[in-house]
Amino acid sequence: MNKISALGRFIGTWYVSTVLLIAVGLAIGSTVFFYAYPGKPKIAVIDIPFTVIDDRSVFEIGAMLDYARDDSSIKGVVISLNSPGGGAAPSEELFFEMVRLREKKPVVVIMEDLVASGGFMMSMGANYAMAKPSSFVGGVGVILSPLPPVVPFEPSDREGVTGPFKLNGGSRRHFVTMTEQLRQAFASIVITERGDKLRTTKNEILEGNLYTGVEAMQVGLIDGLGGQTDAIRKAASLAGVANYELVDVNTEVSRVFNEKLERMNGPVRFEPNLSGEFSASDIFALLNGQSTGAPTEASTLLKGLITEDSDALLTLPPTGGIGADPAKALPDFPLSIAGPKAYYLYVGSSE
Amino acid sequence: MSAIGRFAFGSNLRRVLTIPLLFAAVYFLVALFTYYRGTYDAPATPDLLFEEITTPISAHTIFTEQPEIRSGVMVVDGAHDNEFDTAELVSLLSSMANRGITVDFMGVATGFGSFRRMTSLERLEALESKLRQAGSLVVIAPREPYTKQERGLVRRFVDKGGRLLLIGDPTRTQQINSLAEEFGLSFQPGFLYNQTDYDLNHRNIFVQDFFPDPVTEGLTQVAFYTVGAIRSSGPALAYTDGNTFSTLVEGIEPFYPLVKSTRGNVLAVGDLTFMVPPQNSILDNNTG
Repeated sequence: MNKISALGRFIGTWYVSTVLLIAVGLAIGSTVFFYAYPGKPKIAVIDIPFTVIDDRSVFEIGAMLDYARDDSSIKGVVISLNSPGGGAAPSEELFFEMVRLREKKPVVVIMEDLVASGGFMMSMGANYAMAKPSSFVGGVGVILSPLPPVVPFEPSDREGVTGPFKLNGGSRRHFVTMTEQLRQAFASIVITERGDKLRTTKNEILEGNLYTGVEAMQVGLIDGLGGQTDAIRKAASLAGVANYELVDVNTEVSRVFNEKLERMNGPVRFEPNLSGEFSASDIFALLNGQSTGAPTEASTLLKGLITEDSDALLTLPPTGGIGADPAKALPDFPLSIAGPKAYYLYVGSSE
Repeated sequence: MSAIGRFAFGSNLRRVLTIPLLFAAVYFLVALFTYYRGTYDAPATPDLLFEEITTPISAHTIFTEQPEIRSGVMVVDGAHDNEFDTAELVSLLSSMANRGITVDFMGVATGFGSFRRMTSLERLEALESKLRQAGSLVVIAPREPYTKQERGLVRRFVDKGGRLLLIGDPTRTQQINSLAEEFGLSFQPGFLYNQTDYDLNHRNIFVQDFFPDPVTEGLTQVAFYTVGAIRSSGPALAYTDGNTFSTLVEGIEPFYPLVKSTRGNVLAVGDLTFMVPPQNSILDNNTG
C-alpha cells in the first residue's frame, strides 16, 4: 500500500504529471495522424510485366488500379508498364480507368521494353509518362481484322436476314471507314493528352511508328527519361509527399483475392460429399462450367459456396453462360461467329 | 505565453485537457509537415472530342459512256496462278462487252472464280494458241513467273501490234515483273500512301496529275486502293502529289502508278482494286 500511495504521490507531482500528459498528447497525435487522418503517405507501385491487353488482363489491371484509387493512404501511383497493346476496347477501358485514377491521385507510368499501341493509349491516362532511353514506345494506330473480302460472298437463301449487312455488319468500305474513325479517335486521345508538349504532327504520329525513349522524348510523346526510382520520386513530388512508404499493389491485390478465395474455399474443403480438397483453379473451372475431373457435382459445390459465403461469391468472375464458347451457347445456329475485331496492337515484323 | 501558461496550468482539469490536446496538435502538425509538402492538384480531365471525328469519304460518280463499237478478242491470263477473282473484273469485262470485244480467259476455271494450276507446258501451249486470235492480253498478278519461252511469245505478240495490259497489286503475291521487265517496266515493292488526302484510309490515294495521252483523256481524279509505283523506260501517264510516299522506296518522287512502255502498246497499272466495285464508281475510276 505504501508503495502504491508513493507512486500516486509521484505521479501527482506537477512535473511528472505534465510529462505523462505530454506523452498522452503525443500518443493521441500520432494515433490520429497515422491511423485516422491523413496517415503515413504511401506510393503504390503496380508492375505490369509484358502483357497483351485483353478482357482478362483488364480485369486484373483494373483490380490493381481500383485498389490504388480506393486506398486513401496511397497518395501517388507508379505503373511499370510493358505491353504491345491488345484489344481496342480493353485498351480504351484501361485508358479511361487511368483517367479516373488520375482525378484522385497522381499517376506516373514508367515504360519498360515496349509500350506500344493500346499500351501507349493506357499510358496517355497518366499525369506523367517516363521511359528508358532504349524503350520502344508509340505504335499509334488500329488494326481491324478481318475486313470483308473485296468481292463479297454470295448470299445464302437458307437464312432469313432483315438487312443487306445484317450478317456481316457492313460493306468493306464501311469497315474501312470504321478503321479510320478508330484511328482518328486514337489520335484525338494522344493529341489531347499531350497537348502543347507534342512536337510532331498528327500525320507523323498516325504513321504508327515506334520511337525509342530518346526519340519519344524529343517529339513530346513522353515527359521524361529515367528509371523506376525516378518515377517513384516524380509521383511523390506530384502528390506533395515525403518520407513515404512503397506499396506493392500486385502483392496486396493477390493477398486480398486469396483471402476471398480462402473464405469460399473453407466450406468446400469440408463438404462431406466431396472427396479431397479443391484448389482455386478447380473452383474457377467448376464455376465456369468446365470439368475438373473430380467426381463431384458442381451444383453441390456451388450450393455450399452460396450458403456459406454468398457475398464473396458475388466478387467471383462471371459464371455459367457468360463468356461461354458461342458454338456451345448457340448449338443450333448454323453459322460460325467470327469477328471483326479491332486491336490497338503492335505486331512486330515477322521473319 | 504567460496567459497560455496560466490557462494551461491554472487548474487541474484544464491541465489534463489542454496539455494532451496541445501536444497532440503539435505532433500532428510536425508529422504533417514531415510527410506532406503540398497537395495534389488533379489536372482537368480534357474533353475528348470524339464527336468531331470525320472520315474522308469520296463521292460515287455516275458514269455513262457511248463507246465506239469494235471487234476483237481480249485474252485474260488465268494460267499463271493469277491472284484475282473473275468477279473482280466485272467492270472491265462489261466495258469490253460494251465495245463489242470478246473476252477469252486463258486457263481452266475452277468454278470459284479462280483457275486451276497448269504445268509450264500446258501454259505455253495455251498462251500460244490464245494469242493467235487475240488483239490484247491482260495479265493480272501472276503468282507463277513467265518463262523465257512465254516472254518470247508475248514479245512477238506485242511487236506485231498486240496490246498488253499488266495489272499489279501490292496486296497480292505476284511475279509480274517476270513479264513486265521484258518491256522495260518494273513494278516497285511496297505501296503508296498519303496521310493528308485520301479516301477512307491512307492506303487509298488520289491521283490527279496526268500526262496527256488517249488513256488519260477525260481523267481529272482517280482513286487507287493500295497501289504500287511502277518505273518505266517509257512515258508515265499519271503521277502522285508531294504528300504521297512509298513504304519502301525513299527519295524518289513523284511516283508513277500508271505507265506505258516505250512502244506505247504496253500499259501497266499498279492496282487492281480501283476497278473492283464499288471502288470503280469513285471519282473517275470508271472513266479510266
